[in-house]
Amino acid sequence: MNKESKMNKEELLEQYLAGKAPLHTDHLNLPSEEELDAAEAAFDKMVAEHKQPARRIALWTWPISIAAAVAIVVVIAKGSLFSSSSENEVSQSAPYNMEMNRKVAFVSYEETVAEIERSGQQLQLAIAEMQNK
Amino acid sequence: MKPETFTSIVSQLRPRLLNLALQFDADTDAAEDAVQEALMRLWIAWEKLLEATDAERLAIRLTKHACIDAYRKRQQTVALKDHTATTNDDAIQEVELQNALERVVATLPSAERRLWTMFAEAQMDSAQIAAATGIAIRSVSTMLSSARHHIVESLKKGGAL
Repeated sequence: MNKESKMNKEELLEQYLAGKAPLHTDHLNLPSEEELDAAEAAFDKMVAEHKQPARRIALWTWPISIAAAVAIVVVIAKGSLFSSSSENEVSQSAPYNMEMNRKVAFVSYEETVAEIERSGQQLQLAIAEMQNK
Repeated sequence: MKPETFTSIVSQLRPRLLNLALQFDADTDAAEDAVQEALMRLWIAWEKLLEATDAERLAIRLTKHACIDAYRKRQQTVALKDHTATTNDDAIQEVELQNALERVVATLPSAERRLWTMFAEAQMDSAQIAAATGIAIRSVSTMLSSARHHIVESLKKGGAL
């Protein structure tokens, strides 16, 4: 790199950093009317295409969301029905269960008494047999 | 139109142009780039415009053009990416100051890059840049200084100076 080119570089850089020497002037040129028209048409077309599927999805979401809402309501309603009927079942069957439990307890007492009586009779028979001998 | 009117008209136009660009590309950075490109060109054409409605109409058309231009460039970049990637490293040794500057400016944070491009390429002043970007004038000056510092340091590091 010779001195002259280094100087030129420094000068160019200095001007560029001061905002006085743009690197590109061509890309800031105004596009022609035809170019602007073409770009506008392409832009509008692409934005319209981009919006269309979104609208279709938006239309589909209505019935789907309604169906989902109905399904949720049905599930909740069924859940509450089931829970109340099972509660009724429990409350209705409770006295029966208590009676059954009492019966089971009562039957076992009678059986115990009968068993004692039976063993007492067997004892009396055994004593009588011993006396006969 | 007089250069003084640019700031007030552009600060009103900017949100509308940004919305327009966002309709095309949801990426805020890409939309900001398109608006910046459009407003730089609008500034270049400003003195030839007669009325505010002309400026508005041209700004909208330029924003649409910038969006389409950026989209086409992206498509081309994707297609050429494999070829350019292999030659980049070899080209670094022979790069001229202009190419080195382009590279360094491209590495600036996106907001700083937009500001710097408006300043260095379109030769817009801080008030015009503030109107075009929606950034406060003080911050514009600070960011321009920071960008200038970054450019010089990067050129020194890269051996271009």
